[in-house]
Amino acid sequence: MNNLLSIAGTVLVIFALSSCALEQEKAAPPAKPAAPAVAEAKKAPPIVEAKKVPPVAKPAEVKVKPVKASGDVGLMDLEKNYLILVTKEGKLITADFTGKTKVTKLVPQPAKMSDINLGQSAAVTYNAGKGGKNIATSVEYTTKAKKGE
Amino acid sequence: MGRNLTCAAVILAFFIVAPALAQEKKAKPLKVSGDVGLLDTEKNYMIVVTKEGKLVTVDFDKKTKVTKFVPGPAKMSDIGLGQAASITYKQAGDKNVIDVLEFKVKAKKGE
Repeated sequence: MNNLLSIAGTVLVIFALSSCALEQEKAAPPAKPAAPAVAEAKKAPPIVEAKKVPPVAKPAEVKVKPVKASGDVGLMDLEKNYLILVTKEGKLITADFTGKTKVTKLVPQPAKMSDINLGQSAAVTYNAGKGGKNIATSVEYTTKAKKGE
Repeated sequence: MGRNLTCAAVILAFFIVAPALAQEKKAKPLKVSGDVGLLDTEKNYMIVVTKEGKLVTVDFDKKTKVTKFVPGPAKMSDIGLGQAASITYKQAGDKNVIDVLEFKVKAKKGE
């Protein structure tokens, strides 16, 4: 009888322990995600900071983009180092120049048609003649600067 | 009196119409800019491709004046007021700073 009771008690204890173990196993999974979450929370700030850096750099690249403009020089101040360019559309562009500004003069020289290369940009003035033929009166083109100039 | 009036009217009409007729006779020169897509020095014609992709065929002859513009170093003080120029600049804050400035020197008389 005692044996039976002791066996029954042992089984009960084992059952109770096993049920506790199951509960721990069931309870464990919620704890696991919590730990990585904390770890991620700790690691997150440096990642966010790293991601914030590129957007700051992008606007700087946009500002660096060079702009081209053509027109007539309306004002030139050699003391304050700025000029005003009047475009064909009548827009006024005020721009400063420094010692680094590269100034190039384009000197006209007589040339031959055979001097013109294919793909070269040119400005042609022509008359629309009879029979649909356009006859050029003048052709102007700019040669590229040699290396080192 | 009537004849005089008619003559005056005819003369007046002539002075009004004559300049218009003269303008029609003088064909206004056209300008086209672009890349030289074809140049035939035997058949004396060239095709200019504009930025818009339009092809303009132009004939040339011995009378066609060909000018090349050769770049050379210059100073800001060389530029005169009213001179045509093209600039390349960058926006730095609220200021525009010129990187490159090019201007065409007018040809001297006889050139």
